[in-house]
Amino acid sequence: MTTTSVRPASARRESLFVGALCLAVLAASAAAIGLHRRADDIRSLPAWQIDARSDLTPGEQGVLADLAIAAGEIAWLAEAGALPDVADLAAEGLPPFAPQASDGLRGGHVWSRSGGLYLGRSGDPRVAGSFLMIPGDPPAIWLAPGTADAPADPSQDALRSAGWRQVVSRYEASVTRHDPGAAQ
Amino acid sequence: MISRRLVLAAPAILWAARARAADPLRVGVTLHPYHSWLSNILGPHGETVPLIPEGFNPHAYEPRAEDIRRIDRLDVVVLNGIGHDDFAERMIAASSQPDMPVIEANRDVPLLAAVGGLSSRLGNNRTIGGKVVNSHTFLSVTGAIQQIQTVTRALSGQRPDLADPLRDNARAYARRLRRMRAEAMAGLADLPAASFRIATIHGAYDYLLREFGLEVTAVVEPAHGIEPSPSQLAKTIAAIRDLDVRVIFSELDFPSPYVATIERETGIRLYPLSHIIHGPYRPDKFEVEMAQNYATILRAIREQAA
Ligand SMILES: [Fe+2]
Ligand SMILES: [Fe+2]
Repeated sequence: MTTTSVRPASARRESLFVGALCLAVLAASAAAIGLHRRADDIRSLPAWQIDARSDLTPGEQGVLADLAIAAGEIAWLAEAGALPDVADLAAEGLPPFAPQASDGLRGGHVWSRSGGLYLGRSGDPRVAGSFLMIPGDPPAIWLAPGTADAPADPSQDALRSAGWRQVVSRYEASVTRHDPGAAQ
Repeated sequence: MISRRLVLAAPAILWAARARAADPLRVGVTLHPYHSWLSNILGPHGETVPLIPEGFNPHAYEPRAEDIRRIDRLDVVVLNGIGHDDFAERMIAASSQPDMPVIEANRDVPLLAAVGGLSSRLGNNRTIGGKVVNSHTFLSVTGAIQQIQTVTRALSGQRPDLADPLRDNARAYARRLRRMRAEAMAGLADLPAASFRIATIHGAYDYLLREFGLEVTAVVEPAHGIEPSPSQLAKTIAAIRDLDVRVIFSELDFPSPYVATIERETGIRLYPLSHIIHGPYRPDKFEVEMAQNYATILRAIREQAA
């Protein structure tokens, strides 16, 4: 541990100590960042997946964040019964199902549920593609360019061949933090 | 594939053994927004304990012995865990409970990359290798609710006796936050689509601006919480002009003299936002200051559209 209580003999000594501590912290963090860079522990994704951090438009990132939360809320609602309809979710005030003032800036998606799938059809493919959310633990979120239709077959293979890509958010791909859980 | 794996690993077993039903939960937090969230999630079922005393800026905080001692009486610590509270791990390691269970609040948040400092920007390297994440997930309603869900699940998993009230509290609080945001954003409907370049002094508002579909073009600070040197500042001012930046979001709570220089030299309007790291810890702090932030962004959009 770098922190111990040190009784300063004088203010001068204390500021020297603080200065040294600052240098030590800087050196340690520089070394840590250097190590991480070299380790380059971030695997590249298969072609049918897409990285939420680097490969989505700002509009898509906004919708994704709302959709991930909605998936959590849907899981809580589903504890009480069946999967809620889009109208139920809108009534809860839950974006992206409830209309928001920012919708137009994020692709103007039109949402519908077909069976166990929630489809968000893009209204402006230049701003954002279409989304598909499959509730579960964890939920799966897929993205397709343009104005896609609901897939007849929601299996992973069918989605992949229909041009959908699964959105992947990688918590472990950060240089500030070690994540033992993500190592495997 | 938003990962929803177990947030607590081995220490959870220890915790389960230690926690007794009917005991109130004592939860440590590192930053003001987390304090507001936990106060609302726990309600009367627990106590939220800030690890940093009031008046310290977490960007420059070094743990003190008396702060570390506060950890001794906690049941669990909720961490930002992606760069805004790296001091907490050291505090826990130095405490009498080095195996303190922690909840990684950001586990399920879709993280954004940190935008590189303006002075080091050469045009195309928008992010620092794309690998440094932006740790300010707590400065958006979306990031807040995702973390509230994750924390609530983790707490409920360990205290099944409290699962129902905690979930109800979390859902009610999330609904209130959504309503606050919807009201704040309502004025956006009458405005034309925003398309202007944005810079921020501190790289704290990317998650918030994503809620408007907006992107930050550049961050002035060369690194998180580090002021630019005079030569970096000169380059920054040149870069802001080159990039045709129209709006700069600055800091309400820690203004620096160099920010006024940027405003004077570029003539670009500054709009101060709250990082929510200043002042007394209050359960309603997050709601109140986020509502102000939404209003400020709306004002910037309106004035740019005019
Ligand atoms: Fe790592
Ligand atoms: Fe910050």
